[in-house]
Amino acid sequence: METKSLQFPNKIYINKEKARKESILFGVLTLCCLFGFWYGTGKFFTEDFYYPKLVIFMPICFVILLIETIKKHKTASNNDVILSLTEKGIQFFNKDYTGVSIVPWSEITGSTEIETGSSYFGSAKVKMLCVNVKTPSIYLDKIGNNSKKKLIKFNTKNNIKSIFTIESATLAVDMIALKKTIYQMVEKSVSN
Amino acid sequence: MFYFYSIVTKPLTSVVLQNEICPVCSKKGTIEVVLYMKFATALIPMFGLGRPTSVHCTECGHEIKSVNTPLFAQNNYSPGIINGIKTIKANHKRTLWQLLYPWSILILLGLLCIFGLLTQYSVSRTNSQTSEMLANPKIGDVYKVNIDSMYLLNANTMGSKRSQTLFKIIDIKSDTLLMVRNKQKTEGIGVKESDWNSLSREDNTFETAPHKISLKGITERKEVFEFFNQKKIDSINKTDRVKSIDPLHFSKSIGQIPNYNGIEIVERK
Repeated sequence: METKSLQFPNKIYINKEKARKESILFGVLTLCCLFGFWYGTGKFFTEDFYYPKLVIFMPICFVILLIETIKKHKTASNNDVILSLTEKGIQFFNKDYTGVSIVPWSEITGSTEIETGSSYFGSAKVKMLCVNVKTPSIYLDKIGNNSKKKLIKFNTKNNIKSIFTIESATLAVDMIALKKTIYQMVEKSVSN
Repeated sequence: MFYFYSIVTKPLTSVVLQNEICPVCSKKGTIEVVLYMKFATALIPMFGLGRPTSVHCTECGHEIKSVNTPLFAQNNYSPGIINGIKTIKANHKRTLWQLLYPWSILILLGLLCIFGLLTQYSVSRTNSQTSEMLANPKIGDVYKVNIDSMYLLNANTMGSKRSQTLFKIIDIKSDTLLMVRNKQKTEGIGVKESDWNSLSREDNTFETAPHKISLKGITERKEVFEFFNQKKIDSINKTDRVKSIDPLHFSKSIGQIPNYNGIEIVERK
């Protein structure tokens, strides 16, 4: 079945359902670590025994998982638009991109999905959606975040002319439809 | 410690599916299936991880199937793509090099194991043959012996130093072997067969005065026990309150039969 293009204007949000599920999963794991610490310390050192390995290992896991749970929860409670597709171009609503405003279709060269390295929970690759432009350097001064600027400079050196990168799975949109829309609009702007 | 490993994917072949349409750019005949060779490596390849495939559009770059896609996610593709993947895997015949290269380290370990087992078999066979020959000595047998320099007649040192020499059986009288010692000696440990090759086996290189050696010492302890002279034996018998019949009681160890695995200790013509 052929995938349909997105209708304009189209606002793309975070996939809240997915983020909420992940948040719950990480929360449960965090509680497991807390239980592990309680058990490992012999009910917080009130019993005659304790397990030194658990006493060291569980707090580390607990902190990592707690940070991850908070991050997922923040993502799940984000009601803001991430990016918006209009007839003119793409607009990014991230606070770092407030100075960028709309990137016209004539400036966009396409979108790609690249696989990054692994997360610390395994070797599963994470797919990142990149919006590529002809000259990323003109957007450098408009981007507020210094680390993002450095990343764009680094990517440009490596022939990746992307100004916006986001994990594909976090967006509440059919990725093929989004890529198809971007492709069609870029083709349209080139033919004009 | 330096530790490095990585997963390597090398493209083997590719094929363009003429009837497939890209879902992103909607162009026909742009979908390409690439077959890879995947293996884990830690400086040298360790083991193969199969032949994964990737599917992408050559026009817009859309990746339909990544090379890292897990096996359980491979049923979400169109029949044309699934068929293309099956065809490319079936049609591509790997060369012997492509077949063996990912398993380099395991093949090397396997060969090493086979070599070890063969060596072990050879060593145990030599050892059993040697034990048999030591238990059944024959006149003319030449024994390799690690001897202490202090027992050598031509020793030019007062200190204790290990040397290698040869002992030859010239006569057998029940438990006593009459052996003559080689005039030559080499210094060292004598682990390898080549360490003993410099010693001449000619008759004139052996001394004429025989040593009285206990057979029991050689077979049971792998040591060369030389009997004392009659005067000393009588003296021992006189002083002993409990009379001993053990031949080793009336002899002293002057050397050892080398117990290194794989060495041919007894030379029999």
